[in-house]
Amino acid sequence: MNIKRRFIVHRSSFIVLLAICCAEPASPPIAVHRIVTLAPNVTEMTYAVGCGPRIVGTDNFSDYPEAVKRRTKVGGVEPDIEKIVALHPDLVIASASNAHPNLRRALAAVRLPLLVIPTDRLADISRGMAIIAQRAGCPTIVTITTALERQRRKRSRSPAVIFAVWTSPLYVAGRGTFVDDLFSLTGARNAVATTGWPQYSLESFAAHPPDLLLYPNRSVSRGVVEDLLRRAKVHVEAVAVDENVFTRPGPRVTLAAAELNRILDQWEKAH
Amino acid sequence: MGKSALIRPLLLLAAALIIALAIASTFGTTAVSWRDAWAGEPTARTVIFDLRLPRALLAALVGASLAAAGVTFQTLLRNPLADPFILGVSGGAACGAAVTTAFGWARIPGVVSLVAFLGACGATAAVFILARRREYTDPTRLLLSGLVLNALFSAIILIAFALSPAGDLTAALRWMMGTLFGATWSDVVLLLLFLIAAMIVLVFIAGDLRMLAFGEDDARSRGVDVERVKLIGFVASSIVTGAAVAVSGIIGFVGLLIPHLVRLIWRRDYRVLLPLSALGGAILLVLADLASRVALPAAELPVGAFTAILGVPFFLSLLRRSR
Amino acid sequence: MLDVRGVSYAYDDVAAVRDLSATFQRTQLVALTGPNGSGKSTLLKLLARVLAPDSGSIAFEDRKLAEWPPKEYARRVGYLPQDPDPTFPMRALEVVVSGRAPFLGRFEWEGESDYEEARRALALVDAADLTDRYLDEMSGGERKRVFLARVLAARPKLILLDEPLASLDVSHVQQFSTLLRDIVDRTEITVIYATHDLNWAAAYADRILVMQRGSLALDAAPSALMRPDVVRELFGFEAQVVGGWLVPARP
Repeated sequence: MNIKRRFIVHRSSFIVLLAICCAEPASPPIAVHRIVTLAPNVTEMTYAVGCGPRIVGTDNFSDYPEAVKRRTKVGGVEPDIEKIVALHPDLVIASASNAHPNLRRALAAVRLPLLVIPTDRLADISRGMAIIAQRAGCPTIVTITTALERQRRKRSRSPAVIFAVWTSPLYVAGRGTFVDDLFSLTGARNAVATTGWPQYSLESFAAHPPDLLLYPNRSVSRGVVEDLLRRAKVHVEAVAVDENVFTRPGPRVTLAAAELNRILDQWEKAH
Repeated sequence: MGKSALIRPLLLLAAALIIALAIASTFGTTAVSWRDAWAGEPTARTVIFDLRLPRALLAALVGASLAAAGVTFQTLLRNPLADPFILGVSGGAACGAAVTTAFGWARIPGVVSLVAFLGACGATAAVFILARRREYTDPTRLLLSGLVLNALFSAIILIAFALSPAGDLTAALRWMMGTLFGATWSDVVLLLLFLIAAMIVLVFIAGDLRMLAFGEDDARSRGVDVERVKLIGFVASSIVTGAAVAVSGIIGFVGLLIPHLVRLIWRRDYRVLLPLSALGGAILLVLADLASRVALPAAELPVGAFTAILGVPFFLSLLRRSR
Repeated sequence: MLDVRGVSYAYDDVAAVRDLSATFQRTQLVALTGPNGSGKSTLLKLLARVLAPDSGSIAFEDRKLAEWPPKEYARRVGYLPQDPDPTFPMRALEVVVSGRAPFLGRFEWEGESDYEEARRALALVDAADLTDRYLDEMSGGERKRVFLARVLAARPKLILLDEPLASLDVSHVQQFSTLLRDIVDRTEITVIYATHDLNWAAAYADRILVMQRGSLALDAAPSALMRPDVVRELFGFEAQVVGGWLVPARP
């Protein structure tokens, strides 16, 4: 055949090949009876949509609700694929923010479907729960959208708040995180201007001290926080918050919003 | 004498490798048996043939690549302390991985490996170009350039890590410590191709490399095209190291220790040391990976720690027993 | 046999050998002397094809060096650099048999005949007892003999030695010089060796070349050198000949 036709045939067969290679097979809707979750917030989200009883294994750090503590543990950052395989799950759910880059390939090699849920922002949580519910066919028991909206406040005076994950060095919640979204929801202002979870300089902290400093109550002790304030030579009101709900972007974030509102209401009254 | 000095140890190590692979496929965190796997029981089949076997094979290939590159660098640079990462390969690879993590791209599968490989090759090329002067590459300048570039990469890595999202950071750190997590059959095939290509090249110049051990001028006077041999040797070793690092992160000790171990036992020249080091590296890493998987029931420990834990005592006992 | 014509070589901008010409015949023991930096090592490297001359030509057996295939040339011309230091410990026999490399194909291993040659070479340098010993267990003198055997294992026609006598104590210097003389007399190999020591060179060599700043200041028999006026002109110090040896003249 002539050059032009040969070229067209080659080009179209290339495109067809590309489509075949790269197209992901449409996942047939299979019943999901056994689930393995790989992050504590994902575990809670799965319970919240009613699929809790189907969970057969979780990561080492999942501990809520109580029943989860008795489930088989499959590991941390590099989960034990052998253990996961031995549980015969129909679905594995991971969180995008701490999933190992090789996880998808590792599970694909043993033909286990993987669902990755992003949970960076507050809105991701509801969305993630909906995705899990749809994928696993769960009887969507809880949605948090209304509960969260009930916590929305507009305040005449927005206190500047900082949430410190760690004090030495000082790691804080910046813009574009779910903690930042909680602040906006409850009418507070995030004193940190950078995005993500940056290391905050002591200088900035001392030069522009926030109105409120929040810290997780289990990982960070009162003494350490007071030490930080002493080093920065500032007087800042420091409040411990429930670590379980403030560091896990999951369904209990509504409790975090409520707690935040209580703290902010108290601050408004006092000032 | 001559070739016969190679055959016996080669067969011995090959047999030891097969045994190591069998052991690594048999043991793990779940109790499955070979009999079940052969019978077709799905869990046993998956665990043994889709998890343990490719991972053990990949460990063997990574160990072989690093040891072969290690013995080649030690011969080319005429420096017993050289390892496969000395010319900036580890720095370049880690830098690539760290930068992708900082940008949040580490979540896309395959990106870290690809960028690490490119980083490794780019770093080696940079080191070579820096050290080359008028068609001549001085081994000392190569070493210095490698050291300096590694330092620069370390700085970039620290900055990148400081800016990384916290969860991605942990995964990136584990990668840098060296890990065979998530090894698949396609990894095995890919690295096998790289290793075969590199070994063919190195065997081709093995005779010349052996003469190079006596000194560059000496080799030149005996008809060896020293610059060409150095270039080919560096490129082959760096590429295979880059491929190994892309797959498994930076696993230390294998490339440095195994050539010396093999030398202590068999005391031969490069032509013999090359294949024996490759086999030795394979065996060590298969066993180290097995140990890292089963040492603790609930967690996987870094394989790089076990290459040292297993290799160093063996090495010390040999050292004491030799003159 | 070896014809050097107008050869020059410079390292970067420093001229090491300038327009040097000399002819070498078979069966000669030639000593190449001169102060440090005079270009002795460079000249030997040019003859050994370790370096290529910037200008001029070198011909071996009427064929330009550049026209000799490298391995063919290596079979006929052996080179021993200063202070050879193989990076890793090896046995003497392995070291010496590696001298047979120019005879081996790319994938060929040494055979029985090569090991025979190696043993023969060790015997020639009176080091047969060192065959199975490791290099790092030997004294300086013993190592030098092993490396000389390595060069001889290829049965070359010409060997080039860069400062083989340096760092040897006096008895070993005499031993080694006698050995070189023996080799030339018995096997008809031509030996060109660089040395600092005029006296030992004059005592054993057939011919002495004196290099100064890259050029040949003298190319003659030892008797032509061992004269106070020549020494004064070449080296600038006063000497007298006592019992056949040059001795500095005390004022």
